[in-house]
Amino acid sequence: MSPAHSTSSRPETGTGPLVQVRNLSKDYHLGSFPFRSTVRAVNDVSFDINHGEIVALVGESGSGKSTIARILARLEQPTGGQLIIDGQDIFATERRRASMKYRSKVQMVFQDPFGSLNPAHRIEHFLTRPLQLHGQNDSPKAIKLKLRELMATVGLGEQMLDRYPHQLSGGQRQRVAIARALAVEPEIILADEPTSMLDVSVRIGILNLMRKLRDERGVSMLYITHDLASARYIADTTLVMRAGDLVEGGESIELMAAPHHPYTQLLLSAVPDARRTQTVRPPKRDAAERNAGRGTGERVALSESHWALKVPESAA
Amino acid sequence: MQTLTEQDRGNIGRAAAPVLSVKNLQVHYTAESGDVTAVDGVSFDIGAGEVFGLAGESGCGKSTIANAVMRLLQTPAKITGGSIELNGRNLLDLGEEELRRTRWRDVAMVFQSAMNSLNPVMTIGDQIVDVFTTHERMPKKAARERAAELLKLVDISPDRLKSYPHQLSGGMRQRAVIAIALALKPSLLIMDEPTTALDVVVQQEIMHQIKELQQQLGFSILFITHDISLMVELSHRMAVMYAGKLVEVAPSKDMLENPLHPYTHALMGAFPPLTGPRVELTGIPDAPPNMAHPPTGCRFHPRCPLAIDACRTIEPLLLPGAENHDAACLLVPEYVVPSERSSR
Repeated sequence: MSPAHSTSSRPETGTGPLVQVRNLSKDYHLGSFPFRSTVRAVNDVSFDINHGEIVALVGESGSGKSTIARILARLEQPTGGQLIIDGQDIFATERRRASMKYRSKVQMVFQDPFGSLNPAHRIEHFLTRPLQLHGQNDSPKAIKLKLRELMATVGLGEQMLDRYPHQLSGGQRQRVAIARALAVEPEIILADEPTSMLDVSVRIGILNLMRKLRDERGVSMLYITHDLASARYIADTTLVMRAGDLVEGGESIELMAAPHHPYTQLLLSAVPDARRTQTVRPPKRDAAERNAGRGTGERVALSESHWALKVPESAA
Repeated sequence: MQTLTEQDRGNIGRAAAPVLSVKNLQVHYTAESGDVTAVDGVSFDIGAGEVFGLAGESGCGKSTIANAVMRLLQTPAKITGGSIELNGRNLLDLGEEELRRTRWRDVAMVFQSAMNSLNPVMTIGDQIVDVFTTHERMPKKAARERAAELLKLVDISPDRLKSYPHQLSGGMRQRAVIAIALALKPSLLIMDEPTTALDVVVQQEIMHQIKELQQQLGFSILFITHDISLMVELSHRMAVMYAGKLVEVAPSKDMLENPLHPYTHALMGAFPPLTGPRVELTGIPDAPPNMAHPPTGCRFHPRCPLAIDACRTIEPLLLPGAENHDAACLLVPEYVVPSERSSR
């Protein structure tokens, strides 16, 4: 397979891409003998994430996008393929014990800010812990200083440090979750649907914060979502996933202006658009599904920064 | 030709009258920290065959209105004022037995995450049959036939009558719930965030189906969502709600093209577009107010980028700001219908 698409290289730390995912696969085994069956959640997926790049992974529920995040976070072992971060093949060379070092590079922000913060602790605790675990034996004074800086970065007042999670709104809690991820100064943040449980009015604030962190700190992001408009809003590159396959990828604005793969077209046409003048009859889902990812797995380059999976002749 | 049923006859006489007329509705929640006014003086009408949307952030009171219309509010919530007239009858005056008969026959509701509101240990068929045997005292066999027809109406094969909810996909379950809601041909269907739990493609299929059914059967819809794009696509007219009050009411397209209230403006600006250049959106600063102590004057003023001193003290009324377009904002000059201008 040809190397994954590359977007404009950013002359920041390091030369190559920060993350290289190569032919990643994940099978889940269901049931027990004699009714065992295998579900392929991720099928031969390859892509890069550059330093300081925001990559969006979009797709419907069950498309395998969260599985990819979980593998990148080392919460799951892949069935096959490689994950190379900073030139190091993670699953081949790193032992489980090395995970501390890994976690200082890769952090996650989860979907549910109500479930990801222990209700029995104050906000201060969530941010102090990672500093103590990953930091350089900072003095309590230095930690206090860092806490204040972290809170300011995510746009929260210092007085929030003494509060408990239930005293915060959903948006504020998600900001705490982001501050916690930032505490260890990671190189990449994996954000799995970070806004889908938040109210509409605060979603934009979280997206803006993510972009600010990239712009100011150079943190790369893998943004997992089913909301195409938000992917277009913050991500440099968008990857479209369906039933375990990456079917299309490219520069976000270019990809959404000219979707090539039938599945991407289906997804885009389904986004409600108030400015659409006439009712659009939903496209036949079956056809788009039949066409998706069941070809040779070959990628067609549409431009320097846009590719799509080759659609089988018979279906097109 | 069939003879007209009582309901048909009623409908003819009421062609111009609204199906639902909510007037000055007040709903209070009693809390330890004091009373909270969740819905404060809300009035609106929904005409026959009209799709009316209600938009706003979480906690603004939109679901409370839906539950008030269904008369489902329970302590600590209490309807303390106003009226809710459905086909000319005030629902607030009905006793338990009358309510039981009105619910589902005259007004039905598709709840938030409705796909999980099906009984997991009953087949889809039994759950639909229940509606007919309970409300219409229909014999089982006839009810089964009607159930099969209903499923066909929402594009589900009648074989699925024997399926249990877990054997259907999320979208199919949602369609089955819609079928159950439409079983008795209600004149009003309330839908509270009917597609939030679904993927976009499924959402589009469901919305399309609802639109078709609405055109075919002619019922009215009270549609509640926070997704303004989705609302504009489906509804004829819509209202935006903030902190228990309606702040703007207008035909959906007018609202989209010319939002008058700063809050509506902000809410629309909270959704990134799918076309055009990438511009930075600001969203709405801060969170909605604590309803136990709502701000004085205009409730939106602490978050409003255009607020002037008067906004802190004077409570704006919902007045016409353009033709058929009401807004509650001091900065919107009152619109007077041309024919009435001279008399003022």
